Amino acid sequence: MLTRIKSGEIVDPVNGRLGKGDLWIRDGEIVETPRSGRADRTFDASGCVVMAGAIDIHSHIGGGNVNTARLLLPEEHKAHQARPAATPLSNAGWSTFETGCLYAKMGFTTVVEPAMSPNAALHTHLELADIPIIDKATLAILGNDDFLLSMIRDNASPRMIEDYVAWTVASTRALGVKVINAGAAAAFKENVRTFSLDDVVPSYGVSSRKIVKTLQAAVDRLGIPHPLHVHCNNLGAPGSADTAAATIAAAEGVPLHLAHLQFYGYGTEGKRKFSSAAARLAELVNASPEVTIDIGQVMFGQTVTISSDVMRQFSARGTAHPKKFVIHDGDGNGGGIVPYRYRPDYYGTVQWAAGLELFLLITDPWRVFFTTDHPNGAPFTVYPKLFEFLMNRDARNEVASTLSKSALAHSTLASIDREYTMEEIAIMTRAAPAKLLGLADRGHLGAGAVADVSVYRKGKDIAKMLGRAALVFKNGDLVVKDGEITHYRWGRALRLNPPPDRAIVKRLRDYHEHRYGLSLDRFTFPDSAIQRDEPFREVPCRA
Amino acid sequence: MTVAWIGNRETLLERAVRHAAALLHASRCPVFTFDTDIHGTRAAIALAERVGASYDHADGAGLARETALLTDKGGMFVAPGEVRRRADLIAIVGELPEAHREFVAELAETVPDLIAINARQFFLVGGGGRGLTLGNGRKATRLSCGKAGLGGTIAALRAQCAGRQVSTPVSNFSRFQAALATARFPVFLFFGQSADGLALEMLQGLLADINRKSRASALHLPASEGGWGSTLASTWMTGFPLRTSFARGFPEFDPWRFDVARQLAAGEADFHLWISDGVKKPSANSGDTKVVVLAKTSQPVAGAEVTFAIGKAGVDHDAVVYSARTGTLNSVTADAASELPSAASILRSIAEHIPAGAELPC
Amino acid sequence: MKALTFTLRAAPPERLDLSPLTPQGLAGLDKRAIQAIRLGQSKLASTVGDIFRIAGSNANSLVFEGGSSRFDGVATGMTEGTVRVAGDVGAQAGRGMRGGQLTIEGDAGPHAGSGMRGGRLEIIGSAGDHLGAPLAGELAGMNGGVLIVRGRAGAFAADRMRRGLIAVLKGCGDHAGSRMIAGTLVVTGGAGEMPGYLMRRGSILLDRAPKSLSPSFVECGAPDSVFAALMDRHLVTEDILKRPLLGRAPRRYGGDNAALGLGEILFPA
Repeated sequence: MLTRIKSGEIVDPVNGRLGKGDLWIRDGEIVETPRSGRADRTFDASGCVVMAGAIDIHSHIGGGNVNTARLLLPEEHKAHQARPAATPLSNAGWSTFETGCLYAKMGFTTVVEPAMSPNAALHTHLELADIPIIDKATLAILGNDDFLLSMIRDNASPRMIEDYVAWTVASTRALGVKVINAGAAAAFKENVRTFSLDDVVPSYGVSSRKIVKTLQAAVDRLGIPHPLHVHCNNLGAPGSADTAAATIAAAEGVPLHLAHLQFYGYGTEGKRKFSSAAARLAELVNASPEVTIDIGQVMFGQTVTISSDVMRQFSARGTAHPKKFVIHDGDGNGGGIVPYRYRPDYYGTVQWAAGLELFLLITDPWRVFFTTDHPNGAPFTVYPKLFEFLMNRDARNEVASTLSKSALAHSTLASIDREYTMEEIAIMTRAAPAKLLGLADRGHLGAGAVADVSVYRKGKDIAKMLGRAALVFKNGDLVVKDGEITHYRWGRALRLNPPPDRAIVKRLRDYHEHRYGLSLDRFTFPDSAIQRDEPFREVPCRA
Repeated sequence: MTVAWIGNRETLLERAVRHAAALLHASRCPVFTFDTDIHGTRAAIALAERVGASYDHADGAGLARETALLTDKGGMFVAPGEVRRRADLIAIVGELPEAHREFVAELAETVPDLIAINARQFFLVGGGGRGLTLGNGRKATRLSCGKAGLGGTIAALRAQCAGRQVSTPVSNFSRFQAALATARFPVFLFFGQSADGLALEMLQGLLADINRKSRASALHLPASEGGWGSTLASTWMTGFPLRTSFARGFPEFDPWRFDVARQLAAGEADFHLWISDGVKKPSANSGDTKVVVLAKTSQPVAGAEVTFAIGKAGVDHDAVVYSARTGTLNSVTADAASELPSAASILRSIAEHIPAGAELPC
Repeated sequence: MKALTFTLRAAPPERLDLSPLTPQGLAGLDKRAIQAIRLGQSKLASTVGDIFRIAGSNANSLVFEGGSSRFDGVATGMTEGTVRVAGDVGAQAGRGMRGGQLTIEGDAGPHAGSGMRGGRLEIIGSAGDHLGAPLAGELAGMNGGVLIVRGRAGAFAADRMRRGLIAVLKGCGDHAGSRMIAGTLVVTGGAGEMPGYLMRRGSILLDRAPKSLSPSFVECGAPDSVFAALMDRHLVTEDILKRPLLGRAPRRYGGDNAALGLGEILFPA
């Protein structure tokens, strides 16, 4: 079927296409204007912006910890259709089905779940497979697991470590590797309560830095397109900007991605010894071309923090609102679920401002990514409002004027005039994520790309415009019209598939049998276990 | 091979599916009870959404207590693999269910290889009059508190650990205290069928106290592995655990109202879909309630309007199940593959014959 | 004006959600609008008109002539006026009440007075489990008002209570006053196993020893006799009790020592 999206304002930075024109789709693929010029169906996009489907690189949408959060908080999202305004998380996209629908309505077509515990890979993929419409991907967590820490302690060869990383990525069907507070979860099991980049996991004598550097090198040498995705130490702590700065410095010219940098954008100034240090971090990022970051913007209201940084979540349990939490010592990282309400008080203001400063002071939209670390900074349903803050300084200044003046006094936000252009938004939410994840087939509107297309009716109200897409196509299927779902379909999980090394598989077999009394087969699964047609789509590693 | 009956009469699968779908579509207050794997659960919940049913597990009561711990309190938990490798103190909270004896025996036969210095010690909190022999010639030391039962014993244990007064001290407390003082990673094993919700909350209070200064956690060994798997699937699909209903067009969770056994006993339900690939059988047909059964059976179930013979997940066909041994969902290959249809395939067929309303969400 | 009266036509064919029928919810609605309100919780989707005959027009005073254990959520969140049910009710009667007076002349199901903030709820018959207690997942129990059960109450009465008064006159089930944070629970006619389990603060007043007491409760000296006397006088003058409950020298048990331990259970020697 040939589809024509007519007379829209096309914003496709990758192909240098900016301006009014037509976009053609044949079945599931974007094509050049056909010679015949005759479409089977035509959509009038005049007065609309036409972009590739958006890609979210870091959003906790499924897997064990996310599900535990649902289980912990039934009262926060009950009756989500009968009384939508009455319950705080009612718009959070809480079930798998709502998650897919709510993302699609905003024109997002690919979302990465960034924290998959390798042992729970099947659970994670089953959840993701129940998220309709969009494509998904996962990052596998390494860096607190006994197998890796033991190899590092025993000076295993880089080759052996690469084989282990490759096996993990392949067997868990991941698109990349994440390390979360490297070594801290293992140290927490030994009753260590704080952990920094140069601290050492007691039983192994291995530092956090060593774990990060080991994994960074392995990911790079394996040709995994997405650089190692790092959740730094000391998340949320006053002065954590020092930790982030040290981690940025540790990149040493090799690609490294720092997740939710906002949560490290804190200095120790002021009466409360808590202040925004975002300007300093932005400068470091600007000067480090090998580093990419996503923000993890905070927005005010009730949410729940879901993190595999079990040590941090344990220390935050006292701030739980409502007062309940789950802490899980898992095989590797485990995790913690702590519900939290961001209040527009001093601390909340510092966090809100720090995120926006990072967005606005990091100059290269190819290296800064649009996230709230859903749901940790805020549910992804706040995205429309967040776009407005970035594209309209009056909108953010108006909110700032209602917030803590003393907190803002330590921030540069008021002095920043920058407003994101639609082209920069297209880079940050489409082109750059595709490049960062190694997804050549999306993030742009060139011929041959997957026909993931979002069409937004232009208007003064940016939140409304980007919150309810006029049209969304997924693989060429029309899935959203005027902000409402018109068609369900099932996306795929994008994955790498590096070939397994036989020696490491044998080692892992022996290890699981001796140490856990379990066959390695308990932790692997065939594609058929998902019970959907073609649940995965392979993405190549760099040659 | 016959796999479908209408009443007592053999029939074609297709015809039975149509009949079940028509009954379901005509019902005003349908309820589902299931005991099946993840894909059976997913198909049952998708069908429930389609027809406005409420659903529960066949082992609903024990699961409801475990679910209540999660919804009302949360707590600290640990993966079973970490227990085997780290736990140097194991406290069994309440009577040890048959299903989990094998894992406890495994713990008695192995030694922790990470961080522990001491050999593994075992305690039994509350429980019956007898001590507990664990295999490998090892015994668990009993911690009990006269006639106080499990709830009272955990309460006294927590109070004594915090240095507060109790009216009746816990037996062998000093031994426990000494073991706790040197243990690197104590783990409490708990089970929903052996402890009520308040006792489990008290246990988590004890863990919170211990974790102020040192480490400890709890291992959840669920009342029903299949049921816990279904709880997880329900939670991701609807946002809520079992005992959820779609009667009003959106998922509502209410562990009292949508306790399916209660709904049936109160005569609220006019249709009961029973799905079990295990040994459980539906309770007697009550009043006007129409019953459709999916069970591993070679004959029609008495009183059922329609009976479907299904295979057992993981035996007759491949399956995905929750495993208490790994603490997560595992893929299981059929070990005696047969032609019997899976619960999921029958349920999907029934859903396809429900007249179109909303799109099938899964 | 005559009380707005809902007369039950026949036993309801399904569970009903009566939460829309409160004085503040019905104020200003005409009869036709009221009749169209959906009450049914199953696919039958019964409306007010299907279930009740309506008479009278004073929405500030609602009367249900006839009740049923399928009446859920009666007077949910009511803030003013009076609601009287001449019969039984189901789950969650008076849930989240803030003011006004709700009288149930028959029995109530579970979660009566759940999360009450104010007002007065009186149940002439018996109440089910979780009297005044929060629903699944909620952490806030009763936080104000007066809740009287003239008959028996089930298990977990006053669970997580923070403020207010609950009185049960013909005995209650196990774990009364569990997880109490503050407030007062009065029970005559006997209490079941381990009242006050996990309580932090608050008072549980009994007319006799409970079936059992958690070992984490310890007898601790003489109670504050002024409080006991004041409470007794309050209960009698409020027409909750006919005679003083605690007598001259009640025993006092402090607990739950497993938790904060600042609560108390009093009963006569």
